[in-house]
Amino acid sequence: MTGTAKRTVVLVDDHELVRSGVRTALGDSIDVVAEADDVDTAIAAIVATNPDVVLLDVHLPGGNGPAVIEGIRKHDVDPIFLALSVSDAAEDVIDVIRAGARGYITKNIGAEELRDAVQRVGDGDAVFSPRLAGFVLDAFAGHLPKPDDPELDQLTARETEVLRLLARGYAYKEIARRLSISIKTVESHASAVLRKLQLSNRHELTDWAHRRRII
Amino acid sequence: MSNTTPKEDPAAAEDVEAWWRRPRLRREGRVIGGVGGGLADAIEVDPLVIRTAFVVLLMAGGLGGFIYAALWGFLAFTHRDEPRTRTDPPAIDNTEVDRLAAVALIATGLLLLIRTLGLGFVDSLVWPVALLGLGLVITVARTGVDLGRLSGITSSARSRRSVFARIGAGLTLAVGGFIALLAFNLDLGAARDVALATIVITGGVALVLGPWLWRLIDDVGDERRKRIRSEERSELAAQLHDSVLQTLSLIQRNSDDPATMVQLARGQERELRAWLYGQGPIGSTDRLGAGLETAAVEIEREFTTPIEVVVVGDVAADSRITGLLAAAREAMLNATRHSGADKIDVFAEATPDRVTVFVRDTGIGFDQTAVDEDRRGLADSIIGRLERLGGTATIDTSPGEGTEVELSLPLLDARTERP
Repeated sequence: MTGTAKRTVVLVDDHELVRSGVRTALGDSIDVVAEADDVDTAIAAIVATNPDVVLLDVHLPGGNGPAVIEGIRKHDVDPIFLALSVSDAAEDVIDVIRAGARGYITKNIGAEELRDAVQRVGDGDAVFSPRLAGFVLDAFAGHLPKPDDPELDQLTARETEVLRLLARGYAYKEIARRLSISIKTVESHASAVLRKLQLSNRHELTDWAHRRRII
Repeated sequence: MSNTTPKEDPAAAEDVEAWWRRPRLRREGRVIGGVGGGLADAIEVDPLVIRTAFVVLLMAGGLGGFIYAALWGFLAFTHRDEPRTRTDPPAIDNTEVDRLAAVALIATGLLLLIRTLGLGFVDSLVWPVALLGLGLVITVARTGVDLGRLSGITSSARSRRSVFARIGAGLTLAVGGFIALLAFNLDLGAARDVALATIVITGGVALVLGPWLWRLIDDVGDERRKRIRSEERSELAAQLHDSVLQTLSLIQRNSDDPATMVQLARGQERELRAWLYGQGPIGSTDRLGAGLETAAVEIEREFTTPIEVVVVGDVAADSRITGLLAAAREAMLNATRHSGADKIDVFAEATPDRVTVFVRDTGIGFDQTAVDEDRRGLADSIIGRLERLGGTATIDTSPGEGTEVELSLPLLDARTERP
């Protein structure tokens, strides 16, 4: 989008094969400045390189994705985290989003989509895969009926509508056309959803995740 | 319904006239004038019934004799210009006479006994009951089957007219009997009167209308069975399209690869077997989400296009959800095979009162007005199936714009489970 400077990225995944695959997919337009395969090396690498974006696996040895995000808070760096995982477990995904990741994509994503996602999240946009949209819908619809602060926690009708379209596989620009709003407006709805999710009652959400696992 | 064109349908004309022209004096096997036997032949009951009725009526004040004489004269007059082929001497059937005599004696004896005992079988009761009985005999005897045709499913105008005539005659007699019965017995105790009348009327109506109602109910059941059969046929056609036809088209595409053909054929055999013997389609699972995943995995295995399934909420799979799953599977297959898209998104949402499934691709799309009639995939397996389940299927597409199929099924009761 900016074109002036390449995005710098740190790749955090405990599988060498996955890292090399992702590196290939990112291609020349994105600069992979470091790689890490567990929580501690990830924190060290991020602090050392101060990247634009961290591509973060949800499951890591020595603690999971959220542990990396928490650990970074103590340091003077502020990268944007994008969760990248094969895990479709709702609680994993929601946990990493709640910890502060700006989006979630699955590893079977296409190369072009992956590059696009890194660019967008680097620009400050929220990145929703259909699966993440589904999880978030599920969490809000099924579990947060009585939020502490209704103004903050409940999704508006428009936000729910945007989430549904995201879950159905629509891209932002398609959603914008369908709802006759600007892409920027779609983006701000998506960001608002993430913010609400991050600020929602932690206890209730954990409870939701637990019950989700049972099903 | 008056028959103004007898030349076009002489059989009908004859049949319409027959019910009242048919009674003629019996020339063979008659006892007196052939009136009883003739009537019996006409309404197709045992002559013994008619003869007994005449004897009973004769006992009850002598009217039987009067009626017999009147009918004799009337019938003789009506058929006066018919050739009298009296080549055979009047042959009286001795057994008939014996039986008749025996019955008459018994009836007389009974009547006299009852009168003597003063049990209330007075003229005013015997008359109406006799009329009523005769009416019922005419209506019910041999017409039970014909009455059913009144429901209009198979009847021709002709048989309907003849049935109406019979019922008309029977009902007239029966109602006359009721009225007479009630009129003659008004001086009886009021409570007994009302109770008796109620019982008699209820019984009479049940006897007269019973066979017809029975037939009508039977026909309604027939209709229902036919509808169920037709629905089953539709379901079978959809199932065969989903499985067998799909496999056959796959086999054609892989005709240069015997191993694949064998594999496809074997897989199809398994699947069809499982369906025919009631285990449901292979891979069907007990929940909506699991069922969609299973379908996606199976299709991915067969082709290579990835299918992303996202499910919000979930619901146990009953027969309707299973139908919905089959339609969703068909939509996924269509998207895989025809859209050319490199990825298919499936989104399902189960709320307490509704299940909605979206199957979307970003492929070539198509013109909905240009789909061949014989391509049954969309029409039958998706739209028709959802309609049979009480839901709706909407297809949103145009050339170059990708395709999205929306399947929506209202739930009959609130069974959705939220996490």
